Amino acid sequence: MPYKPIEIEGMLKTKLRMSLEEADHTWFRLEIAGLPPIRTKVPNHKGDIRDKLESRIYKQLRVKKPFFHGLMDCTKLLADYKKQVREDPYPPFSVLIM
Amino acid sequence: MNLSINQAYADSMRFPLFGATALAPLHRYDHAVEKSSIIQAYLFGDITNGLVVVQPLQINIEQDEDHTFVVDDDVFLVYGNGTDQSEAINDYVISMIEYYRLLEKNAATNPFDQRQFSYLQTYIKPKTQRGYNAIQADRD
Repeated sequence: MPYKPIEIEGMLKTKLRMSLEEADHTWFRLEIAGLPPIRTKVPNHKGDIRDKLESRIYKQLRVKKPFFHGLMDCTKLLADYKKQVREDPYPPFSVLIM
Repeated sequence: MNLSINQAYADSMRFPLFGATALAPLHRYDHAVEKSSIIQAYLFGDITNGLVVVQPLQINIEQDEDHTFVVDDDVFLVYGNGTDQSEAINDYVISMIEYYRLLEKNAATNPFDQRQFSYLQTYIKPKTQRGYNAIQADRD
């Protein structure tokens, strides 16, 4: 079942403890020591987030779909997320930090 | 083939877009998209009063299950979405401008953001000092 933007925002704020960044869109930021800041944007609309759009969000979070769904469905915690992006970020940070 | 680049603004929904293969302007690409296909194009030139894309930035245009559109790039992972392609591209450009400003703001205090901002500036730069001042005034 597709998630709604408000559900994803809730997960980012409460579970991942991401902070809001000032912009017209809703941007979230998480700093993990030794890693580049993780930024993600949540769409402004209120409808369901479909597969293609959802994939852009978990890509920005550096995880794959099953892990993202684990975060959304409460089988993954903040500690799991930090471990995941430290050990196996996807896509890897090296793609961006040249 | 006419490849002229027009002045474009984030709120006008007109951007200099070129097809990835033939570098043809994508005036009629809305008729060419099939479900689940990805169109690749390049963003290049002015994207707002103060910023210009100085190195062609490849973007992917894709249709979702609900027939809305998602536009993203594979370099900075910025995306935009909308009910049609123009709206999605417009949203992408606005998101990219926001991303530029977020990095610019944090570059002074975070070395990762500083490096990423430097890399982003190989693609996007203030057009002129005057444009840069306009951005700063807009932010204030």
